[in-house]
Amino acid sequence: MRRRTGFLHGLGAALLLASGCAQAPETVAAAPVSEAQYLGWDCAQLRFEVGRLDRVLADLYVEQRQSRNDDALGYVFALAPLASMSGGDLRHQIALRKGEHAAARQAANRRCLHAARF
Amino acid sequence: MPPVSDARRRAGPHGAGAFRAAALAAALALGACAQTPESIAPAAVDEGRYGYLTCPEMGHEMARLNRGLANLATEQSAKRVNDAVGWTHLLHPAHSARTHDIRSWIALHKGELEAVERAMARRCFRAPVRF
Repeated sequence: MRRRTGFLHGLGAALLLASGCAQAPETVAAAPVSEAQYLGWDCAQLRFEVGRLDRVLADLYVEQRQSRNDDALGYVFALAPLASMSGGDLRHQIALRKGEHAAARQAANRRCLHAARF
Repeated sequence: MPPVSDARRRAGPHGAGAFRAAALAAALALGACAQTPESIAPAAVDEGRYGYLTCPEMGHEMARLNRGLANLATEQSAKRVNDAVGWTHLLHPAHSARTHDIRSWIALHKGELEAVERAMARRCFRAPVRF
C-alpha cells in the first residue's frame, strides 16, 4: 500500500514537472494578432517588418532549443527544469511573433502588389 | 449508528481528522499556486481612454500591449514552473510565496488590448469588425 502511494506521488510529481518543460518551438501555435496592428504602414515598412520578424523568430527558435536542452540537463542533475524556472521558456514570445508574422504577411498580401515575393 | 467506511474504520477517529486536515491544507496550498496566464480574465477597461489616439497610433499601442502581455505571460509561466518544483521539493509553492502576484497586470493588459480593439473597430473600420 505504501509502495503504491509512493509510486502515485512520484508519478504526480513527474507529470507536474514535465508540464513545465520548455515546448519545442515548431509546435508553438501562433497567437491571434490583428492585422489592424499594421494600419497605416506602407508596403516597404511591411516588407521590412516581415523580414525583421523572420530574424527575431530564428533567434527565438535557437534560444528555445537551448532552453529545452538546459531543461533536460536540469532534470538529470537537479530534478528540475532549470531553464524554464528562470524564465527561459519563450513559447509566449514565439507565439506572439508567429502571430505578428502572419498578420504582417496578410496585410502585405492585401495591400501590396507583387505580394507573392513574401 | 451510522455506517462507517472501511478506510475510516481502519484509520479510527483521529486518523480521519488528520486526513481531513491534510486535505484542507493541500487544497489551501494548491490555491496559492500561480494561475496559467491563459486562464486570467481581462479587466474591464473603458475604450474612451484611447479617444485621443489616431488609428495608426492605436495600431502601435496594440503592438506594445501584445509584447507587454507576452512578457508577463512568460513571467507567469516561470512562476508556475517554480511553484511546481517548490511543491515537489519543498512541499509548498515557494516562488509564489516570495514574489509579486502579477495576475492583475495580466488582466489589465488583456483589458487594455480588448479596449484598443473595440476602439479601432468602431473608429477605424466603421463597423463591428471581429479581430
